[in-house]
Order: sequence, then C-alpha cells, then structure tokens
Amino acid sequence: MTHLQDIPPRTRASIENLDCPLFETTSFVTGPALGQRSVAIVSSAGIHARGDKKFALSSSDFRKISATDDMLMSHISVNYDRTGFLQDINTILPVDRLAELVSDGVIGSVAQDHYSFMGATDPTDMAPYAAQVAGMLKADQVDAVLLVPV
Amino acid sequence: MCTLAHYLENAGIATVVISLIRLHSEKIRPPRTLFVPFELGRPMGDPGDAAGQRDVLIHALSLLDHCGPMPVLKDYPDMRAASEGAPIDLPVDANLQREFAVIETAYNQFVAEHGCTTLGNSGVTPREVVAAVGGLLSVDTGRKRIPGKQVRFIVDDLKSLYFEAACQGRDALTSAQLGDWFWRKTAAGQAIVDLRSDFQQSDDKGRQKIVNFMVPGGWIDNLGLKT
Repeated sequence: MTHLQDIPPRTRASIENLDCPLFETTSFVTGPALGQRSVAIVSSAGIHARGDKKFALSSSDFRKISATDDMLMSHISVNYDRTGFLQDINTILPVDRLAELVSDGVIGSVAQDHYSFMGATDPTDMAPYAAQVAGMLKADQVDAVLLVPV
Repeated sequence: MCTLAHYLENAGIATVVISLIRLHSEKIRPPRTLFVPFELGRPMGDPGDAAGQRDVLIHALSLLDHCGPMPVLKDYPDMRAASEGAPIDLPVDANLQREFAVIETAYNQFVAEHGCTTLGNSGVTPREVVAAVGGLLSVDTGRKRIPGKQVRFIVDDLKSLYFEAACQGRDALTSAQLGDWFWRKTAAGQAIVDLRSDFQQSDDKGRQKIVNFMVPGGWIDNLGLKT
C-alpha cells in the first residue's frame, strides 16, 4: 500500500536524501531453530513507559520497555502515522502476537524486556547504546531480535 | 533499524529487520530484512488485524532460519485491499472549548473501553491541554509563555485526545480519514495550524525549534501552509 512514491513529497525527499551509514561487511550470527529461540523486540518508535524519561531532539539513547507497560510515544517526528499505535500497540510492537507464537510453539519464548530508540536520530550515535542493549539481551539469554521501525 | 541490526549482529545477536523504506535497507544491507509495503507508522500492518500482524511476524522471523545467500532482503506480499472505516461524524465546532465538550465524552469512552491512553507526555489533563492551547492563542492572556519543548507535548496530546475520541466505536479508520477530519474540520486542528503560524514569527528560539514538529509534512502541503 505504501512505497516511496506514495509518501508525501516533503517526507519522501528527506528519506531519499538521507545519508545512510555504509558497512563493508555484514555479520551473520547463527543460532538454534526458530522454535527454540528467545525473541526480543527493538523498536525505533520512541516509546517508553509512562513516567519514564521522554525522548528529546537528537536523543540517541534507549528506554527499556515491557509488554505490560502503559506506553507513551515521545518521538520528535510528526511525519508518520500515530493513529495505528493509539488503537493497537501491536501495530508497532507486536507483543501479543509474539506471545501467541510462543503458545503455538512457533518460537521458544519472548524476552521479558524489549527496548526502544527514537529513529529520527543519526544511527551511528546509537552505537554505544546498542552495545549496552546487546549486553542486556545476552544477559537475558535472548538469541533473536526483531527490529521494528516506525 | 538497519544500522542497529549491524551493531547487534556484530555483538553476537541474530537480528531480523522489518523495513518500511526499502531504499535504506538496500544501502545499509543488514543481515536479514523483510520489506513491508505499509504506511510509515504501521510497520506490522493495520491496528486490530491480528491475523495480518501474525503473518508479517512469521514472514519476518522465518528469515532467522534462512540458509541461502546473505544478506537477505525479502518483500512481504502486498495483498491487502484498501478499505475505509465508518465516517467520522463527531460534531465539530468553530470554538475549541465548545468542541472539546463533545470530544471529551468520546475520549473518556475510548479510555474506559481500551483501558489506556496515549495522551500523557505533557503531564496535564485533557481539559488542561485544551485550555493551554486556547491560552497560547489568546491575545487576552498575553500568549502565555510556555516553553517550546512543553508546547510540543501539549500539541501531541491534543492530537491524541482527538484521534482517540474519533476512534471510539469506529473500527478500521485509516490515517487519511483521521487526518482529513482533524486537519480540515476540527477547531483543534486549526488551533495547531494557527499556533504554528505564530511560532514561525516568534523571536523565541524554543518555539521556532518546534515549528517543524507540529503539523505533518503531508498536511503542510495539503493545506497550503507556509514553510
């Protein structure tokens, strides 16, 4: 339904002209079959628990979130739809769908904690925070991360 | 997301990216990507469409078992027919305060039914959100000095208030329907447009800074607003 050509011209231009970091190589981590994996979500929707620190312009850090949090979104950008989020959290953070996949044996388990960054930030500034998140994911024995944009 | 995938994978954790911008995934080349042809802001598809969200999720997670050439970038099939929900027939009014009286009832019903609200970044009640916007626009109150940073959250909360009210009792509303109603018909939408115009001329740097974070770019064009 939405490809680049369907996005309003002003937003499309900034998307097309965005400087993307380039990587000469791509790592590939192997792991158990999907049915044995523990899955966490990392979102770039700028969401956080009500009462947690809000995201500000150029925030490159992250918030720890869980499926049961009362969630707010303080993302700086207004150039994407937020009405899906306000009707159904699974539109941006599919926590209920993941729980169903565990019940059905499609995946092994879902992590207790998930993480959110705010996407309208230079992603290279997120590198040290991504390292912190990786450490916490490993401590939680997560072996698969679903990265969901907004 | 694509860049974070590299960082996490380099740290030893397998990743799969859901991508809304195929161009960025092609450039950054994360290990495993599912491109979904959905609207920005709806990476898993439509709200309330559990079967569709599940299908997207299974397509994405299945890439973890992919054993062909890497990186892998797959396209999620775009099979959904566009549909619109019921018309938004909430009464609107040229006066923001009077309009709020109707909106507040629908909003309260939405919160009672859903058990949650996305309104809250400003830290004030819906009534205070509306009063703050009215105060910011009123010459009588001297266009009260609320810091730009706080105004951004008040504006976000005003939108949440109206969108949640509009969604009450109406399924499958599209963002286009909601945007059209809010920006073209409501006093609240007009108030934000007026506030933005005020801020464009303000000598307050905090207020100038948030001008671009009040009205979506698409609606700036649709409404013919000054940039």
